[in-house]
Amino acid sequence: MIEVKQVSKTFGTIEAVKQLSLKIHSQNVFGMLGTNGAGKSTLLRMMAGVLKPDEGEILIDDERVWDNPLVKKRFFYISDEQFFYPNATAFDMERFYCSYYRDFDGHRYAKLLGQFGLDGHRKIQTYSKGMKKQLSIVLGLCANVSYLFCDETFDGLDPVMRQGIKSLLAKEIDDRGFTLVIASHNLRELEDICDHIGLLHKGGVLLSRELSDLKCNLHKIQCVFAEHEEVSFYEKFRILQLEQRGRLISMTVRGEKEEIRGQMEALEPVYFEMLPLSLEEIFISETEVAGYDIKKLIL
Amino acid sequence: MISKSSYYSLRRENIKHRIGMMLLVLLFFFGYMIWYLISVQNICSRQGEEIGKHLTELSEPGMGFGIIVLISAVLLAVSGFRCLHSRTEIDFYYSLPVRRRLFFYITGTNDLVLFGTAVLVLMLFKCVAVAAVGHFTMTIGRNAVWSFGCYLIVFAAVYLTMALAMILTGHTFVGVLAFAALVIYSPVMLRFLYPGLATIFFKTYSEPLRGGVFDYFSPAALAVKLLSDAGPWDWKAHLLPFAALGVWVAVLLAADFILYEKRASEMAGRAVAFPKICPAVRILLVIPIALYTGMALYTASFSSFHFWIVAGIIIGGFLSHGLIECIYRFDVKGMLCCKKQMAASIVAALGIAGFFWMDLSGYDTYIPKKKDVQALFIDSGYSYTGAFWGKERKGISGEVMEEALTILADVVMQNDENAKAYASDDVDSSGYEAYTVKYRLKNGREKRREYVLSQELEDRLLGQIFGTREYKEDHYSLYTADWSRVTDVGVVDFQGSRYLHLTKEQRNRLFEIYLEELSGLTYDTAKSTLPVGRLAVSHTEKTGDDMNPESSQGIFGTYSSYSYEIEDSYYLYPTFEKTIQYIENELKTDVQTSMEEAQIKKLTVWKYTDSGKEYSITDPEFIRSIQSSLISSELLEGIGDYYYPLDNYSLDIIATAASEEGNRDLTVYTDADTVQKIKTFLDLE
Repeated sequence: MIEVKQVSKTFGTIEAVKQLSLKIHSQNVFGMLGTNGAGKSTLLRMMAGVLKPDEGEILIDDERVWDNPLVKKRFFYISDEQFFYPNATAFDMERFYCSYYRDFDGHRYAKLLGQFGLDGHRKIQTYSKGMKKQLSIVLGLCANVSYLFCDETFDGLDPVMRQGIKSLLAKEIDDRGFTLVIASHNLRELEDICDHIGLLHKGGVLLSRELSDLKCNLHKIQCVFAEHEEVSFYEKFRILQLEQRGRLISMTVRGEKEEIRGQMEALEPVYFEMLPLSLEEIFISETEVAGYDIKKLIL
Repeated sequence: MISKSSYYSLRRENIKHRIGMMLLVLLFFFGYMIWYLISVQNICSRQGEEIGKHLTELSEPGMGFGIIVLISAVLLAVSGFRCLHSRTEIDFYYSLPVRRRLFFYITGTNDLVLFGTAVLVLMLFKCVAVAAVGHFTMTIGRNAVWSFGCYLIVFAAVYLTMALAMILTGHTFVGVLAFAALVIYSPVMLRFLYPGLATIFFKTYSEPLRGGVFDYFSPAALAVKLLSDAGPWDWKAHLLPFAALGVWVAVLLAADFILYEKRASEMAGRAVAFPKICPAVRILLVIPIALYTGMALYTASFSSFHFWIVAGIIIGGFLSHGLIECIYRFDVKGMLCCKKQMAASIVAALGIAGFFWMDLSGYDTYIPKKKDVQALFIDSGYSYTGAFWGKERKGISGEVMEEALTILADVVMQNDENAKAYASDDVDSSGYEAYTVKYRLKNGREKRREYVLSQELEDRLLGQIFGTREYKEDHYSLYTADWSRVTDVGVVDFQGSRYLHLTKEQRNRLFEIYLEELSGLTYDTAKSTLPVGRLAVSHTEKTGDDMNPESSQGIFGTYSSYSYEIEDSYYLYPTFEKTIQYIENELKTDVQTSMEEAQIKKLTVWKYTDSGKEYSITDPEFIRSIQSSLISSELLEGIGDYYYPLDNYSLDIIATAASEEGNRDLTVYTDADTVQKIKTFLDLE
């Protein structure tokens, strides 16, 4: 488990992370969301032991990360712009990482390189940006560590490759049960892979919750009532958002699906439908409750 | 704990990552080896020369290879610690499961081992090369060991300085600037600050440029000091800089290690990695730069207007502060940032300039108490004490010194006025003379001052001291010199110069007679009579510098010691009858004691104060009447340790004399009375 305890980090006069606390459970896929400058990369770099927190501490499996090689052996950090030695090939990098990660799976590495169409003997500096991203993910997966930290990993990948990587990560999680922490500013990228979401804003955690919890308890309802009929929705439902255009009413409502359906039917609307919510809509609803105009915060 | 494979992997990758720079350094070594072989071959190809001596000199530590060491240290440190300035590399290295300090350790030891091995191989190569030509000696072997030690410690000091600059900064360009600042701050910026300000503001400032101590605050300057000694290698003479470099290496190593550990990773890409030190660095740089700008503008104005210093300080302070801030921020808008600190720095610089300007330390009015002074050294502008080759100068002491100090008190009082007249273009400065006075105090310290004396003060001072043995022993090397160093003695008169080809006994006798007569020479006699000739005494001097012809073999040449000859002049006054008789009678050489016999056809005269207008005198009678009072400038060539009462200011005189080769033009000097006669004759008054 990763525990972030009251961590702060300041760059000059800019407070990148403020008193942030977070728990990331093992065998979870944690999506770290936020706009540019929200503090995602800073938090990830602190979790990877690159940056030292000004205040607070970060523990992985109850041990401090900072300058602790034993803990660092348990994770692999893929930065937003991974460094490779000049003139090195993919196999050179394999040899390099093999000496730090004892369980590095060379056979699988070679196999994955082939699957991704990456020439292991070609100099990495001749790879495209997307190929370098693929290579860094392959290296991270084959390191066979318990935690994989990815910073903006899907940037630069084409949609097909993006899906391929997601599938690979999902399979890896199923097979090995490792913990994946992905930082991204793009909510849609994380929707189909994460099981826990943390939303960072201005250096703090706006929200951190299981995705299933979010999805199960929130429902979008569209309904139309007969003319001149006044319904007091706020008294009957736990409404997070309500919008009316003409006679069409759209609501985001918290509660059990069947219970809400029963209540709606009892009101005898002219038309009524319950729609599934996208992750983005869930976020918009949740954060508006918290007083944020989330549309400005995420894509 | 890091595994062995991780450790070696990191070490291997560190080398692979910087292989280009390492090969470049090894290429320097290879080039030096080629040069060394050529030098050995050149030395061995000379017949009848001291091959062994030259090969020994070649094996000594020197600045030639020292330059390679300095460049190698800088290049390796930049390539080794450049990764600190790259965010991607920082992310990569610091996320690896190793302690941060290991990167510092691996980079440092890789470079040290590479350099140390290369130097060791080079030293072995040098020994083998010399042994191959049959000239290997224990001295050469010892020099190789010393060279190894010196180059290694110089490398370590410079390398760690460059590493410190890289650790303190977040950008390689700024790192190089920081290295330059660390290297030159003490030996250049601080060393020249006081002499610069004192020269401008103190009228009596006359200190020779010292400040070797400033080198000790810069490892690079100390390295140059250790390696650039021109003399034969003597480990005792080099022990102090060697030990100081050792201390520096220890201090730098500790500083580098601590700062590396403390350095925040996020500073990669920024100008400065430790922003808290910025204000201090700014102040330390801005104040001297502002002062130097002030001095530069003042000098550019031909030292005419002191307010240029104020303007320069303000301009220099503003620009340097702004520039430093721009570098800190990588933004030109930084020019106007931290205005209060900028103002404070400028005010501090103005305060320092004001301290000198107002002479708050009382530098120009300084005169020591008589009881505090051990000896006085008084030299006119014509004194040639720089080439003094007698025993140590002792100065004037006792009662004469006390009397001289009383006169010097008057000199100090009148100095402002006299210095003004001396430097003025409008006032006739003839009759004023600059003197350097060194006070040796009983507490062991020495103070030097330069005074301008009017004729009256000069007469008083020299009248007091000239006749004393102490003064003469201080100014005429021959009194205390080792006469065995004399290589030739010649006599110079109007007819020209002739070597005397003396035996040892003749030389000693001639000097004894001359010095006896010189001891009796009074100030009044010296002032009122013209010399009739001079003894040209040549002696050997040993030194070492770039003038050494052997060093033309290349910039790596470490040849240093060599002998050369210097000629001293000892004037023959008409009163030196015994000396002249000895030369004529015993040494069988005529001394033409006057120009009376010369066939002067014409005198061409220029008056300085008359826009250089030319006058000709061809009247044979007038020429004959003054002929005996003329003296050839050739006779006075190499003006030595002499006071002579000649008028060479108010008139320029060329005498055209007939000789066997045809007419010959001679620049002549004369005394003040004769000048007056010429002026009257030409109606120049």
